[in-house]
Amino acid sequence: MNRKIVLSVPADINYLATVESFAELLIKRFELSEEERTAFSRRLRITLNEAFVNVLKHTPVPENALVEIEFEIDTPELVIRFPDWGKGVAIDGCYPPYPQKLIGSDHLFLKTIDGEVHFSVESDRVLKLWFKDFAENLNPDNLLENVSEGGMGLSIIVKTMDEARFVWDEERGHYLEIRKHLGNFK
Amino acid sequence: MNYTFEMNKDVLIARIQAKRATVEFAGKFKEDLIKKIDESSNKVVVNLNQCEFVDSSFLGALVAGLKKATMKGGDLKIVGLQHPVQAMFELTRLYRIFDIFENEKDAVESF
Repeated sequence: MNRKIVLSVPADINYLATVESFAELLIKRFELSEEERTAFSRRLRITLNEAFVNVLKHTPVPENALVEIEFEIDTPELVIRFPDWGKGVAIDGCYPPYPQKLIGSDHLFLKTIDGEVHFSVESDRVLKLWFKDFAENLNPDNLLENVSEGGMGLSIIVKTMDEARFVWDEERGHYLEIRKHLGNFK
Repeated sequence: MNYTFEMNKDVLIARIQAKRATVEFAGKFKEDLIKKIDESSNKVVVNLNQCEFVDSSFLGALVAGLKKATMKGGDLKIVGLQHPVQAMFELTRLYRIFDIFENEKDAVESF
């Protein structure tokens, strides 16, 4: 059964704890063991935190705006959409809709201590984010040199959830779409 | 107050006194931590034993503190990770760059 919940909160960092706490309410909608519930609740909470902060920090928020976070529960999948006020990600100077020549291409988005966040251009309006893991080949001698204070938020979302995409469409504008398949989150 | 600073011999101790250590005070904490490292000591211990949740902004502040302390020839060590916070250090793999201790005494004596 497909159910949709929309959480509408002021685009203000003072509402961050409210957004995070929605994880606890949402988790009750799923039939999970106690262990699964604890693990998923933590992952969902940090995802909501990072995605909300991402909207506030990295897109031009209008005065008195509301962030309308959409939760689509289509068991066993949970889809979360975080709309923002950005134009999307620029690739070679192009914003979505991207030209045909970019479709199928892959791009480095940012680096973290243990890997890289990339995006693949799935269509003229969709970028799929993925994490290239270097954990097995980390050089302990220069770890601190390579670690950055920023950029961890998006990598946390990509690692924690099953799928993450930046999507642009004429109606809704730009948004981050996150998917979690509840059958395999352990 | 979300955090305090105190000296134990020549070691600067930062105690986070909040259940959520997040972007709401991460920027100010980073600023104060860097200033304290400059003014007081390059040997730093950050005690997180009251924290149940940390986000990437707060972890970024710890990374900034570690970089500052090591640049001045010292180190920044972490104490008291509750399970959800430990999980964040593992997820981000920051445990690879921080020395992590169970209590302040062990962390202070490790310098």
